Amino acid sequence: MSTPTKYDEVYQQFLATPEYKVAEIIDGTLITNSRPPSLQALAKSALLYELYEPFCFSKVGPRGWVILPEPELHLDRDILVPDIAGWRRERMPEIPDVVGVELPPDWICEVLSPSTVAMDRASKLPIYARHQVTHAWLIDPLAQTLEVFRLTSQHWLLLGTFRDDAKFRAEPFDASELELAMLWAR
Amino acid sequence: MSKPAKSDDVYQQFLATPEYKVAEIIQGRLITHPRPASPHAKAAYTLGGKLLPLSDSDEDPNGWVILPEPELHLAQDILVPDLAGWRRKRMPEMPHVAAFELAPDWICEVLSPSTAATDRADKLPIYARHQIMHAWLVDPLAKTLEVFRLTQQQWLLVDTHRDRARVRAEPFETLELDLSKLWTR
Repeated sequence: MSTPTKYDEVYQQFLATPEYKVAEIIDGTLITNSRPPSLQALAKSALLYELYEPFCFSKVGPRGWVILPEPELHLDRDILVPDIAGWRRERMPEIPDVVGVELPPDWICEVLSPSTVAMDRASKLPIYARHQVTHAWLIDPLAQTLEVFRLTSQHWLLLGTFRDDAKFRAEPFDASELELAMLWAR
Repeated sequence: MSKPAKSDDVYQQFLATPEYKVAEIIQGRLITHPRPASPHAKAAYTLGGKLLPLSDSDEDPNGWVILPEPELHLAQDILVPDLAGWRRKRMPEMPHVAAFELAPDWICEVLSPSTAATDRADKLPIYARHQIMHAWLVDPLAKTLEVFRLTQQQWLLVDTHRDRARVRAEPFETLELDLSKLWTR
């Protein structure tokens, strides 16, 4: 058919990235990172654990959310892999059997590390905003902070920042009180 | 109606802090940290320098008073942002004082690993309570500038810039800032 576009080339490079790296296409550019280090991995798994029973599944059955770690989001020509993303069940009644999810999530969470923080704040957050992701959480395991944002007129409104061992309620999961301390309990 | 007194104990400790430490009173507690390391100092000093043209004239009604590390007395708290600015309309003449009770129109915090949590979680909300219209967070290690505008008591993230971006960022849209200068070694 037609000659491969620059996007096709980037996408081929994306597909060719080795398994031990995390690959994304951000603003049309292939970005690869090492897999997250241990403290970032801890924060991510602890938060998933805290959200699972209240919001995803209980013994009684599915709850209001689909929450997935490191889903590959295909947002137009970008491919973003947030640390965690969530979809309200009304928008995703059944989890599709796919490699790349095209439905933008209702909530994303990025766990920051020194090597990814600039990209997360300056490049990925604006892309999530463009795709109407309603809530964003930024977790910094080294500073031990959680920043909670809600999309408001195309911009991120900072609803609050929690730190250390705070117990907190934060949109969109404010129905349950959560414990920050677990995210850095080494 | 008299002003409520600051907690005397905490305030005495604040006054007794040695010169080589930075002291603040945040939510009633004394917080001290060491003077900043070089990337932090460089970013703050360079940014202050870039903003100088806005504060050169004391007759420009659209001008600013811009100061490094001013001591802000905001109700019961004493905060020392890395940079702060007052519009001439609100501060036609800079007073000769040790501390300011008039909240600035803009503050800038330069983040370091030991202060980022306090800056984001503790100081930003206090600045919001005192109606400071704009806040910039500069991270010299990540090489980012986050621009916040106060919107109905909350911080709206207007933009995030990084690395070598050339930016015009509110409230200083008249100035083009080459961000790379903040992190040249």
